[in-house]
Amino acid sequence: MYEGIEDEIIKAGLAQVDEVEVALLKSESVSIELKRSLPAHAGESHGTGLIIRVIDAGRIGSSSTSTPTDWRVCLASAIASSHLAEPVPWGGLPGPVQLGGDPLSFDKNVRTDPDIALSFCNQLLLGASEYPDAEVIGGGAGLSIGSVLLANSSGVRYREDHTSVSASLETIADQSTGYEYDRSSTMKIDPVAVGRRAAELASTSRNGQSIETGTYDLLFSPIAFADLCASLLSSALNGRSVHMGRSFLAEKLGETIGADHLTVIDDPFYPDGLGSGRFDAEGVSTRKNVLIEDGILNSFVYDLKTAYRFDKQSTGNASRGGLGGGVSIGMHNMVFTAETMQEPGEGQCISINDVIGAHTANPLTGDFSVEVQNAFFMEDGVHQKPIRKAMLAGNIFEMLSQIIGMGCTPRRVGSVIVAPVRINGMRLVG
Amino acid sequence: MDKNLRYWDLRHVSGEHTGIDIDNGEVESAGVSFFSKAIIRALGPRGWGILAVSPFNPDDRKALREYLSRAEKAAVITREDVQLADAPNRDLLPTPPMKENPLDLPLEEKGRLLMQITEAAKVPGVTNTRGTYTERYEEVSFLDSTGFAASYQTCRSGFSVMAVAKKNGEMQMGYVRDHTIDGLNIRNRTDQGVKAGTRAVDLLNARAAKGGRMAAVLDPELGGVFAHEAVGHASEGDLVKEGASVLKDRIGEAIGSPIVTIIDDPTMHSFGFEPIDAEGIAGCRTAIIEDGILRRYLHSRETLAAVGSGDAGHARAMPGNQPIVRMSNTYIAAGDARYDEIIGECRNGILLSGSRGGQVDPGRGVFQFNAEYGYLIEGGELTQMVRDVSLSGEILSTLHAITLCGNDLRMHPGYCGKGGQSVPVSDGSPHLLLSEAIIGGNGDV
Repeated sequence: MYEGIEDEIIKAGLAQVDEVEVALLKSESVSIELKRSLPAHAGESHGTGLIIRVIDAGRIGSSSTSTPTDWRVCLASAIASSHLAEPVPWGGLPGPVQLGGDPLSFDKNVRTDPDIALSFCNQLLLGASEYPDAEVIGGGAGLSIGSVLLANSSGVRYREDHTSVSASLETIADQSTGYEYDRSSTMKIDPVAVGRRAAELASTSRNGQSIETGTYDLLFSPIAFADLCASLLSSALNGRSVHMGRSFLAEKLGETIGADHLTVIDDPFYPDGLGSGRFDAEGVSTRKNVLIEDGILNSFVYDLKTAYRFDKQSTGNASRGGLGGGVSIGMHNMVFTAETMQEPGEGQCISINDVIGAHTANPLTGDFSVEVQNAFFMEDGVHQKPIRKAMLAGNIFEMLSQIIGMGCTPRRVGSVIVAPVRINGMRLVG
Repeated sequence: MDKNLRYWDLRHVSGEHTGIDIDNGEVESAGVSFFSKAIIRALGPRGWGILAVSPFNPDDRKALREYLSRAEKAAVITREDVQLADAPNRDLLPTPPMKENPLDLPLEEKGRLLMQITEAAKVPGVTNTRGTYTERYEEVSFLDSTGFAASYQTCRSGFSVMAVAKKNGEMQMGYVRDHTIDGLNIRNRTDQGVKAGTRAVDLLNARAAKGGRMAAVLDPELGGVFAHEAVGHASEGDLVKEGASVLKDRIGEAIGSPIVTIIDDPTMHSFGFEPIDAEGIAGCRTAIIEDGILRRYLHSRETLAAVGSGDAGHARAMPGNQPIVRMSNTYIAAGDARYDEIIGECRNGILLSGSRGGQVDPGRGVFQFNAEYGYLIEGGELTQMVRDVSLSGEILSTLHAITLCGNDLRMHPGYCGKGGQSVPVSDGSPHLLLSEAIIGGNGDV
């Protein structure tokens, strides 16, 4: 369906504006939702989306529609919105280049088959059954297949397919909760392990002890670290925030901002990464960007508009999510590495699996105070007694400097890849 | 209807979402998204088969029959024995009249009005401003297998303005937002820009709060977040049904101080209003807690049948998404204490104002939220301004710790996320005094 529509739109658009870009998105998915231990909802979805962006004398406008056959309305709306936008010194949409290689976030074995989703659900429950005192609250599994066709008036015609497979489970034991999930672009997820972990967290968090207010050495799970740090660091590295004076890191290029063994890379080619892709939302071929190297701030990330405006190069970080389906700046896969510790939970520390309220951190300064979730006293990497409740306060940018090391095995948390992180000397309010 | 199909419904939402983004005095971007999305639910012998379709053409009856058949087939795999409670109230609630319809104004004019607000935020000391305008026009049609059909339109609109102030390498922000369901709200609102700018500058001089246990006063905005996060979510019938709420099996129990009454009211003409819910049921005012006693849960038809003790009409959905139990307009009812009485009675503690959001684990009964700013209370008077101050706690012990309820209830609009869906809500409260609260902060004040 809709084949060839992009050429028609570009032709019609070029009669009125300098440049036109068309993205045609398609997706289908199936999912099974568990309520307690029973499959309660079986769903499927079918969707399309059309996004049109126009550029005329440096003014950019965009519009989107879920009904591609209504593209004329969408095109007119994109042109109307370009009239309102302030012009920028625009240097043109990119032309085509040879991208090569197989799709990066696609697995041909992924099928939108409800029986596969159901078998994942059964595996979740099987894993959870290893901790019979933990009750399943809910969860589910899903599979999706999608594609994006990107075309522009400079001759780009790129197509990329992507797949996604996910499974999650929520559990409760008395008044202790557990949650675990996995999401991958391939069939390589392990629902049994997800179910087991969710149940283990609820079961072992029961009968939590209180903790004295004070300073502690902490071991953040990949989930806790990613939830706290990744989105805030990502916006501080966003070229637009930087040049508009809204980033804590704006003046710090070349300066030490983290531990001298911390490296953060935005890697669009990370195997099975959920954010992997060979071109970005405006057809710029992607590249690895070293953001922080050995603790030193190395680079910010840009889309074309911000790069043209501030005399920089696009880093291939345009993502969809702006107004009217327009472009914003985003990361592909943020990969954190630091000095490897054989046992990041060595000695005495507090292990924190997750936090509540990560999104309430101060987006400018990085100051936060959040509630810990599934936290345990730990000795030499072994969980001891669970902690009933504690509030963790700190500053995300200071945390980067306080990183002692990371465990050996990284995990994917959305499009963040990080191992468990050891940070010493943080404040907990008991 | 096929004998394996006990019930079906269709909710189709079409419309357009408009946005304008002004960054430092320039229109950064503007755009409109058009959509036509449907969700079709079929209740089979056991559970639900659900089909999400985008785009959806309401005139294509053949396609609808096919979608229904697919949903019915999907339902076969389910094992949960779903029952639906009767919910007879299907008369659409009266929609608030529109003072000035945002749709009547050209995009350029909205941009001009938003520019006035963001420019006003540039008070001395402010180095960057940003303003956004959002407008969501939606035409909703609902149809179910009983032959009930209804349709309505809503247009929600609003703005946010942010100011960043800098001094000696320090940076702080002020943020103001307002959204309405009853018409354009960006005319003559430059005072809101000034408020954001002034707050940012003031916060540069504020001290980081020191965490610990202390008495606290919550302003109406943060008190509303408490009502929403801590109590509202835990009273949602789906969480109660699945055993994921600390309020499960507590109907009739005193779970809070006798001065606490908490209500969710979808009929209130505030930002969370809907003429009917996503199952075609007209909502009603649901008193969750009355005088400290847990009375009712919020329900969909399914959770009402499974759990009881409450009202259906609280199922809501984003366009093209399945209905889930949600709040609408949630608030702590006004008491009789005056503001100065509350501050005086607090004596030594902290006033928490504004909200940077919050989160709750309703199963564990633990919540966390962050204020935009606060003031120390010393000797019954406000003294030093503080920043980055948060409140966390256990739902039940915090409800018991409310010792004074003010007479100054105010509602605040916002969006609430659950199950990957974000819906418009409002929440509110009068000023509240908590005899003891766990305050988070990073400072040494």
